Amino acid sequence: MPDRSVVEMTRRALAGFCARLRDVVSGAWGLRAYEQYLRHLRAHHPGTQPMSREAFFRSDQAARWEGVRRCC
Amino acid sequence: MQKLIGIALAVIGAFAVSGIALNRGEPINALWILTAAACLYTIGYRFYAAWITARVLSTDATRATPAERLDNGRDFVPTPRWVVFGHHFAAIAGPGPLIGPTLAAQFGYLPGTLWILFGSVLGGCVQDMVILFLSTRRNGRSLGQMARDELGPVGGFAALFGTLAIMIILIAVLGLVVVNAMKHSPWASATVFATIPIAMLIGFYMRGIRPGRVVEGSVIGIALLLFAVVGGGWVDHHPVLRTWFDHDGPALAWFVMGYGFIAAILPVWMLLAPRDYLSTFLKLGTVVLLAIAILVMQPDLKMPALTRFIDGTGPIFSGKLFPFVFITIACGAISGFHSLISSGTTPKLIRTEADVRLVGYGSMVLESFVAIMAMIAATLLDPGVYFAINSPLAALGGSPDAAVATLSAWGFPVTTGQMQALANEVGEATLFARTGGAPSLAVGMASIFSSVFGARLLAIWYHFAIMFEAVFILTTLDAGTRVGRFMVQDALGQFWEPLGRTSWYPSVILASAIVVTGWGYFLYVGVIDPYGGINILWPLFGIANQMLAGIALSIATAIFLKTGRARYCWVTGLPLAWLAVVTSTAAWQKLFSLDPKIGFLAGASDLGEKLAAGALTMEKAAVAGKLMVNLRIDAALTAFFLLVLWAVILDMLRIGWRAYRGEPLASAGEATYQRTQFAGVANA
Repeated sequence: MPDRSVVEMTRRALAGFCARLRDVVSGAWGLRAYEQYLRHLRAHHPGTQPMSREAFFRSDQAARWEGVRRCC
Repeated sequence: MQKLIGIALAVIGAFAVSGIALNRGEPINALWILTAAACLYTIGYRFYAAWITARVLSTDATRATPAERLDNGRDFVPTPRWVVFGHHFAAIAGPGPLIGPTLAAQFGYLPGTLWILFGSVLGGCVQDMVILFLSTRRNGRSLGQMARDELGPVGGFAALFGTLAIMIILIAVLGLVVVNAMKHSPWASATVFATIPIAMLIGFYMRGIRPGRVVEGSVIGIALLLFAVVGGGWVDHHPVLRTWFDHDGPALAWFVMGYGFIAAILPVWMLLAPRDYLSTFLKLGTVVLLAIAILVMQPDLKMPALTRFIDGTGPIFSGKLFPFVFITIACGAISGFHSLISSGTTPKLIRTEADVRLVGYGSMVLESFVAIMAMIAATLLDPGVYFAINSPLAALGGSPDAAVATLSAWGFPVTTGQMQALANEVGEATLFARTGGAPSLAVGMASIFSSVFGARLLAIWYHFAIMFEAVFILTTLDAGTRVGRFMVQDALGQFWEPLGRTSWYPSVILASAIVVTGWGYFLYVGVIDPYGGINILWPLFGIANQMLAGIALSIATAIFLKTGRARYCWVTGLPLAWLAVVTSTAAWQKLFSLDPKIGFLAGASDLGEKLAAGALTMEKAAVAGKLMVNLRIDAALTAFFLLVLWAVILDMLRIGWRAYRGEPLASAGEATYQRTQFAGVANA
């Protein structure tokens, strides 16, 4: 019978790893671009009315494809 | 403690490398190669890369990066290091490292594997990291801008035209790989065609139905893609439906051209962006799955360490081991293309200079590992089967019966019955002469997957692998055509301003047509070539890609010389010297070799003589004229690549000479120091 605390520690480490993996994946795919944009507005331009998620997604997607985006 | 681990790794690594290199006669297990790779990568990353960042680049964690100083919440965004890593890897990983090692396996598993390992650790990873660092110091300037700033107008011109030329050749060769995988295969064609409406559907979903919900859209898309793989099988078994998807090479080439043109003029949200989300998910998933499967299966490599074809008589492509193994591996070891990403979106995301090693060096290590897995997948096949799939029939005597006789005489026994049984198992009509690397990689991947996840499903795994590669390739094809379109519009805008407007439709259509015509020409000639075209186009692509790497390394070396780091300039200077030797030798042989199988010019005159003497079959005589013109165009392109490479190297040497004479040299563009405001970063 393994020690309770060891099980608990493993569970926590795994949960932490999964959360981090989720962060990395969603970040790398640009999935949190909108939250990032909101944070930026709040920090640097308080009082500006932010774009809606839909409007942001549209303008962001076009901007993402300027320049070389994919390799061989 | 660090040193102890290092010594242990070095011993294990040396043991594994020598085990691979000295093993003769008996099959070697893939685990040896994985062990050698893991040790070399770790040593390279922990010691060499760390030394470069500390001593040569002098990365400074207290220095604010452009992402911090210019933070605009959009393209300049300080981003956590693993997120930038994922972003950068997703951008640099393409189909190149899957195709190159598959073709290079004709020399045996050893030469390609050694170059993938040492070339990446000492060359490719260094290039990616150094360019990323230099661009980060210069507010994310592009490779072309840095070339102009640091080398002068010649360098700037070379980078611009080099990029456009490599894009054209790359798309042509990738198009050819897809066409060869779909040729007379209703299952593969139906599946690949289905990926297009699926991508568009997901595009509408993400824009109209559930705006911005990328994960949802992608999960649905992946499910539909998997369904398309199974559905392709039903189509293949349907007597009428299958004829709709059974096409020959030229028809499929026209289809790919039409597709590329439409993809380049449609808005990105409709096709390009959703396709890219799907291919990135698919890419990472498949790479992880493959790594697990290889670890579980632990296959023996059946290919010998070295084959007789190191003498240059190989049926897949002609040319000796030196220099052609380096040209053929291309992206898996060092890829000039990566420097465009390292000086593109990535430097604008780097949160602190301390992350440059992980993102620049680390991503390329992973890419190189993908190339190693492709090499394993190619060399675990029976050599006879491998050569029968990858060689054009014209190189093996003209018919399947002649091909198995030739291969068996060469010492790679295989029978037509064995090939037919394999073809039946994977759900294809034939596997003879399926050149381009995709079908053989798919057979290799399918045999790995099916031995681990269920042997009954070989046909499904095969077509999953084909779909995976096709989605990959079509994404590069879309994105590359679009980039080419922007570059052409930029150039046309110099002559008449409205043509430079990126959203003015007449200009969009004109520029897209120019780019598609460019690569479409090479694709079409490759399709009608009885030798399959890959043997011409892939070396041309390799030379172009290594040329671009030469330009990137020249820029880095010039900056080292200008900024008082001359004694470290060998870090980029030595890989540059090696690339210059390899690329120049290959280009020279491609131009002037008297062997018509290697030299473009000799090939053209040989064809001309045979045509005049009436020694060609009707089929070959019909296309001989086109092939001769194409061979001469290829020769001109090769000469152009060679000239551009040496113009840039001489430009760099001129700077070196001035540095040696003690003349004052200033490196342009490095942004002035500002201390970072991020708490904790400076001390990390």
